[in-house]
Amino acid sequence: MVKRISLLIIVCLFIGSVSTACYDAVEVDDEVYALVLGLDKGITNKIRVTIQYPTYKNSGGGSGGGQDKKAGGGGMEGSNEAAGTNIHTIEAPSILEALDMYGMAVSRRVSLMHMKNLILSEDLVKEGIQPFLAPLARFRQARRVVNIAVVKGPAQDYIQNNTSNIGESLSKAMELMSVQADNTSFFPRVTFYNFYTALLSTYEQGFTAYSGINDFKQLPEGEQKTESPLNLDNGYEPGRIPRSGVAKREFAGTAVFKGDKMVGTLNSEETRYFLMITGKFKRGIIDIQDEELPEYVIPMDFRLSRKPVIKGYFKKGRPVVSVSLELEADIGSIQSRIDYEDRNKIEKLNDDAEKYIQERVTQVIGKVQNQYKSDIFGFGQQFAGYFSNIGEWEKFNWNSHFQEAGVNVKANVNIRRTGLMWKSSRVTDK
Amino acid sequence: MAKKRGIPGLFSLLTYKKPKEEESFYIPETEEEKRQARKIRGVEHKVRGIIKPTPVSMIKKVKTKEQSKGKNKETAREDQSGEKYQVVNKDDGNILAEEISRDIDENMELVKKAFNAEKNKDIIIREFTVGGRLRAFISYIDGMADRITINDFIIKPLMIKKEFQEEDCSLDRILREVLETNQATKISETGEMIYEILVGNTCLFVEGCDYCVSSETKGYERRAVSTPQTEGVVRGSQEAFTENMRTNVTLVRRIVKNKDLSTEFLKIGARNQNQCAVMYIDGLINPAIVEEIKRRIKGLKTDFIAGSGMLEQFIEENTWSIVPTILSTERPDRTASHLIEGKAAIIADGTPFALIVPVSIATMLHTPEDTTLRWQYGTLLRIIRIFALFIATFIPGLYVALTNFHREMIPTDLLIAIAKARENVPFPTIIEVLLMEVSFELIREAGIRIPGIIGNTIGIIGALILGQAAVQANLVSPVLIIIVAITGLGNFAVPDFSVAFAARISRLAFIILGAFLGFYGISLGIVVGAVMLACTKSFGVPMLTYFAPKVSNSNDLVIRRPIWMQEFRPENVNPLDVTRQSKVSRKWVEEAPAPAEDSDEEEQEGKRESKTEGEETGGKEIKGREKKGSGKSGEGIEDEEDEEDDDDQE
Repeated sequence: MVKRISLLIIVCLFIGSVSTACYDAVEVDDEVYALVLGLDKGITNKIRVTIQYPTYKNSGGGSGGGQDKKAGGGGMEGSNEAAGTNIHTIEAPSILEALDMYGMAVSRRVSLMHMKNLILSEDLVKEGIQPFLAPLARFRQARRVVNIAVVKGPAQDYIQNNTSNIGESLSKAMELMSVQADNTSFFPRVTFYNFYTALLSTYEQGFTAYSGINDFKQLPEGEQKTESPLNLDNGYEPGRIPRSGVAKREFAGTAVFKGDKMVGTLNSEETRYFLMITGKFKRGIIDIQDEELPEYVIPMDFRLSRKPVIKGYFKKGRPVVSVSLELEADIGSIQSRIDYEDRNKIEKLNDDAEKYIQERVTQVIGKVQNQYKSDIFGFGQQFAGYFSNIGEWEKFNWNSHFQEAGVNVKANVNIRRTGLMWKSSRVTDK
Repeated sequence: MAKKRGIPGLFSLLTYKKPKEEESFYIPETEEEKRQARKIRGVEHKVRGIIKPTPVSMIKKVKTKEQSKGKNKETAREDQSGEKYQVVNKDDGNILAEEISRDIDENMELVKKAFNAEKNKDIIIREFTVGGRLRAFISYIDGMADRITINDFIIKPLMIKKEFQEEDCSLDRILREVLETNQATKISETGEMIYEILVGNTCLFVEGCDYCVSSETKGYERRAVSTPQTEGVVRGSQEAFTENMRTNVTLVRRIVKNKDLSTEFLKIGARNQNQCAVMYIDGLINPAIVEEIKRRIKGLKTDFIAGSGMLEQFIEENTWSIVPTILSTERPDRTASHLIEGKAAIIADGTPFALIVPVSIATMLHTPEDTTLRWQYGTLLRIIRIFALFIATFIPGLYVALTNFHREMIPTDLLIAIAKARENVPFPTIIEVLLMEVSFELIREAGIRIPGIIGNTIGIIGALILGQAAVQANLVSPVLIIIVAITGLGNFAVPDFSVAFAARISRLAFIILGAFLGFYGISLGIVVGAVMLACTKSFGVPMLTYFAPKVSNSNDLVIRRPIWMQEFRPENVNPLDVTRQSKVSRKWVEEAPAPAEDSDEEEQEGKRESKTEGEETGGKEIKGREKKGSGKSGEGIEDEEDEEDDDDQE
């Protein structure tokens, strides 16, 4: 009996493997791997999908950035080459159909397995992105660790300028670009998973990185004055950073969502304080004005020493949030060369920094509460516990109460290291 | 099983059938447990996963029954081969007298006939007279015997000796007084006499005696002891076995200077009458193992066994297993260490290898270097080797599976690189892999067969043509060259030649499984392989012991613990004495350091001693094994050992 059963199992396995084996097998080079998926509003159809995938040419990459030839409108736009990659744009009723429609022009199957970035155009997200996210959440190939960003202007243009300027590998460039979020905290690193869960959540709202194209005309021209003015608290928006260089695309700030619609943005500076509250602030150098000699600044390297402690409670029916930030800072430099490292003065510096941070964090919360009315901080989580069941919580509708919440911010800064100097001394003869 | 033909026959190989005869062993230690278990349940039970042992004597009975059952099958074969031997033997008996006669002419005729002296010029018969009056002759095979010994110590004394008195047989006296050879025995049977001459001894026949005297005169050309060819080590002995069995036995005996080290000689091969030696340490090895080895070797009925390689195939348990079940080594020190672990060594004349039985899979991955190096280094080497075995078996299969089925698992940059490399390659990955594997195997095989003088050519062919040119010609992608090269390296790092072969064969299976079913197929393959390995036994000892039938750790299996922690022999071979060394093998750690001149020393020691005692009573209690509180630093180490043991037992 046992023998017969095992015989049967073997026969089944054999038939199963023979008849289904290799069914899913695809050679590596029989597919192209889209690294970016860009979504724009369509003109003749629902959506315009742009993909960028690396070519398999040996000389792929090369220097200089791609020669962008923009093809005219229409159902399908011509493929462009940008630094060893091909870019295709297509208009289709849905993303998934677009992927199949590429098959009419691209000689290999388009795969989203190795997608790095999902780029959404601002126009699209302001109208709501619910219909476009659903297929990506369900589709097997699309990974949920894809970084998601909203781009100022058309995603198509953005992708045309999405080139790797340093190495040949575009995927590496894109991966490391999102890692830059951790190094500077000027923009958040949001994966599709984070974003999607935030959209479904009842106690927080979604946000993404905000990016755009810089035309290199932002760098002011003209005579240099004898005295350059000190200009602190500069928040930048993508496309507005005063710089020139090779990479036209840039990330700066946060796109704030309410529901599935984008309602506003935070600039790069505000993003830092926003990230401090959410605990995702890794590190960032912030210039603090020297109180004693206001024409000088003290750049300090801040980092969160502990996860921020956020507590929510109801006070006379009004939700109150208390945010307590624990920060550490290293002194980058003291331009005025005042001896702030001194035990008495360092306390003063601590206090200054605390005041500085506290002020700006409060400002950011205020801005989001008043202008956007969207709880991207996730404060709602602290209040959900006050409700005995989910029904009550949903009836309470946190999102409508967020704006009336009182927020108390307390920042504690400890300066830990003073860099390579432990005592500043004045430059003589000055 | 063999009766079924066609596809059902194939399936019957795969399906599990309860073996008709259980090959099991008498294990003295488990007898008591077994009896008790039978009393309790009245059923067979498993002792620590080992199938219920049955005494060897019972097996013999079963065997004979089996034979009578299967006689119908066997008689048919014996008609052709088995009978033949008998005919030959009968012929011998018919032509040659079974006993040596008193008549010297008759004896000379006997020798001449036996060795076909008219045609066969190897046999030398030298006639002379002893004491000037008794006729005598010696007989030996030219080349096999040492001429100087014969001239100086047999013929010379015999011919010089003049005063011989008449006796019934003077050979007794010759043996006593005249022959100057170290070994000399009386032989009266023809068969034995022939064998003595064949192995290189000299037989002396004297008129009037119905026996001859065989003197030890073996002296043939032999290779000197040299360094190991396949099992080289950096630190450790640099001796290897030679083709001569006697030398090999001596090499082992020189390392194991133990009076209990026994060497039994058994004849193998009916026509070439080879010899093999079974070495073991009496009183340490489980007698069942020796019994079984001898039973198997004695039960061989074949005409030619050239050496250990052929013998291994004749006595191994599972012919169909990919993994070898007998360890073959060319190192006397390795043989010795296995003997001391309670295993047996079989050394066959003709090949410079000893066969070690029984072994487990872990033993196959050991080298003598592990033991000669400090334990950290030895452990590192072992881990590297396990990794090498993994690479040699799985890497090409995994590569095929990854690139064909699981592309999402490859890092993007690597994937693009692979795609770029593959862009101009016209074959699917599986063909690429097989192509490279085949060429690599070709290089390997050709490298062994190529005459030494033109040996350099193989490097050029291998490196240039197959490496560079194949890539440039777009036949294979460069990534694949790396894969195959790594696989090759891994294969060479596997210490046992046979295990490396097993890895090579299973590698092919995994490539095909990976190509058909991806990771799913590879995991299926691993499961099937593990099951097959778990079913394999080496002389009754499961190959996966320690892992599958869980036995206590000898601290020298995969992770090599410090040498003083290795208190037990591997339990899988069930040695009669399982203890290798006492709990505290380094007595010096218990003792006070050599007294220094300082007078303060004693006081301090006294203080420390009282302190440790205090801790001891307050803290953990040490099992009353050793004298308590006798040492200071020693206590700490004992504690450690206790913990170690507990770990092991878990």
